Amino acid sequence: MGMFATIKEAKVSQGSVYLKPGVYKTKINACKSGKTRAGIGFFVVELEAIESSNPDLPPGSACSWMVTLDKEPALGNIKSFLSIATDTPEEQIDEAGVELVCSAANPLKGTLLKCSAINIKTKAGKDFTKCNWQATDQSA
Amino acid sequence: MSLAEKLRAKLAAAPKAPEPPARSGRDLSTALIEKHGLEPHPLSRASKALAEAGVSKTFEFDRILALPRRTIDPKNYTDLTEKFRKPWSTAKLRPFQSIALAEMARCGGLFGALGVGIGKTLLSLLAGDALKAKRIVLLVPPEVRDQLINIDIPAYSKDWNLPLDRLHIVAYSELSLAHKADILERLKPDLIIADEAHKISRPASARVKRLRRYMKDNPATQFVALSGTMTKRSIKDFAQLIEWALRKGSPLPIGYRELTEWSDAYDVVPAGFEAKRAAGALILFCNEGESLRSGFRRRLVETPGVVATVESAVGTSLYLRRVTPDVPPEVKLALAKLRSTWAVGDDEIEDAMRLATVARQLACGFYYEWIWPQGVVDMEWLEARNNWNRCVRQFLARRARAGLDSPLLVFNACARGERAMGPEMLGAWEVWNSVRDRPEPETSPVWLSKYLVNYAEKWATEIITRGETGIVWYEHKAIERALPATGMSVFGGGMDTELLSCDLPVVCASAFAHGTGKNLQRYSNNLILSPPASGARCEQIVGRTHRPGQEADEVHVDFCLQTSENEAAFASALKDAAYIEETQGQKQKLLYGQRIGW
Repeated sequence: MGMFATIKEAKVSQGSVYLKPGVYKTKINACKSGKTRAGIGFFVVELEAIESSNPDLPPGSACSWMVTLDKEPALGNIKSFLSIATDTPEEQIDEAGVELVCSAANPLKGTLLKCSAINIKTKAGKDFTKCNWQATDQSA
Repeated sequence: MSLAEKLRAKLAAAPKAPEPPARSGRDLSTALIEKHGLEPHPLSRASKALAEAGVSKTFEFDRILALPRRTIDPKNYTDLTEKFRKPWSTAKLRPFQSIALAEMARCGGLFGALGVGIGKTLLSLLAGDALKAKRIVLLVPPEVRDQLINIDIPAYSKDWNLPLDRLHIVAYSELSLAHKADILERLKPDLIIADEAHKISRPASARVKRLRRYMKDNPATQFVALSGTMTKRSIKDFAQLIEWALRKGSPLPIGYRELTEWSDAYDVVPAGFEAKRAAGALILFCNEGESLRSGFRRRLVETPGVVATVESAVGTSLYLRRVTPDVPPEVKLALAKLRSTWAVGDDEIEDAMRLATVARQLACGFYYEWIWPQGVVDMEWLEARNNWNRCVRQFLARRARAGLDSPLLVFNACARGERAMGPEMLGAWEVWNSVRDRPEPETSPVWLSKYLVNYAEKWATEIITRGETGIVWYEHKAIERALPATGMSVFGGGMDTELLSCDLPVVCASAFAHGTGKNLQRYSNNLILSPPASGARCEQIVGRTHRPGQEADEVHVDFCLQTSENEAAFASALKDAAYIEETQGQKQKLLYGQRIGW
């Protein structure tokens, strides 16, 4: 058996960097959905930092905002994000719309958003980076 | 002035903040589709979610929802006879003719879904004056052109002022001819009247493309569409026609994507399947408890510029009889072999559509075989073709999916060398592709039994014995060639004048050549040897004799349903008829005719 015989079955790690505390102007590269290896559904937004107050994520660096669907506020957070990113009232965010956002057509690619990320403690006492999204001027 | 009042005054004087951009008021999915023109893959999760969510409430939907409505009550329309009639005549317009002329004058066009026999021919001849047109093109099927020029126009001219100096009669087939490609540009009509408008329902045909180009380049051209069978199985059949007639007043979406959504929800689906898309916003057309199609029918027929008849204009009773000629053993055997092996003679069949075609031929007692030049069978060509057909059939039965669900799509995928097709398919394609350009041999019928021809002869004899009249409707050339041996007169394509002037009690007529547009009400019995699977075609054939002017008290139509394939075809026609009645409201002869022997 050759050294790379099982390469077809190998899983590729995307090596995501999540948003860290700070204030950013970001550009959406892609919105995706899928399931983790543990079978938990997730929604992820891949971003590029355009402006940043955090030296660990300087302008030009790639980062992600990920929501796993096993927690109660997950869908609410996604709805809030999409409402801002698409300028659509929250009550009009529908399932098909989210699926379209995550489809190969990638309609939100290039959308600019402001984000302020802060660390908070969860009820379980763990650190959690909460992201507040805001619309911004779309001229980069 | 109190502080509060000062602040209020200051706020009132301050320049107002700009209004936030108007929200679309639509779901995110609709907004994204409208903004980005997304067409998600049919198998994607987005597509499935969209199908479940149903038809979108788009701007176009809102336009249609807001269109004015009116119900047609003949009491509200003036009789226009005096306006069009010659002073000395006593002829009268029928109520629906007056209504249609008034509507087209008011709306600048007309979508007339008028039942068979309501008087469309006179309407088409008077439309030019009603719309004050200077150059009129009247499009007619080639098979009714002779009748129109030689019989109808001279007859109507006696009583009516017809705009013959401005009228050009063009057969639909002329629009398809390469050397007449610019016929509309040369005639420059400001009004186009399409009689039997269902003849231009296929958007991909050359005639429709030419018409569409002209209508696009000349948007002021008025359009009148007239037919008794505007739709067969889909609202797409008449979407283009109604748009040309009513433009922004059309009650169907003008964009293709929205039209597809609507047709996914409304159209006929095969037995055992559900509609491709949930109703969604279309529910807004329905009253409480009303079915989806009924809600659509009301939206359609209540639109200004749409005139659709409900009742048949014929007082004669209609009887539909199921007849089952005895199928001889040799035909039964061939049918059993066809159903189990998909083979007939030496030929393999590749898809279900052709299987149905061959089964209908066998039901008539024959099938077609190749005639090889000098009697030498090209085995290489035949084997390659059979092998390819077998592979395609198996692929479509087991592996068909969106984008790979027809013989042509499978062929194209193999031609592109798509590895996913598998080595067997690619190999079969390669062999077939190397010989497929060789000229296909001629075909000749192989008769297993002439039982159906004999049945037709017996039927005709009974009709003559009773002193009645009748038509034997056939659709195959082989039958056309076999029928004269019985002594009956046979009228195939190109024999319009002969059929119309024939006074024999029983005739045989090609359903394709004479099943539309002809006035054959002097006959009162019909024998349909191969019942069509299309409800619209059945309606047209039955409508040749069951129409105004029929003097017999009863019209009888006998359908030969001696095989399961013929039964299935008739069941499909019934389903179509139900769809047409539900969406357009016209009573269908197949549904209201009294059935005997079922």
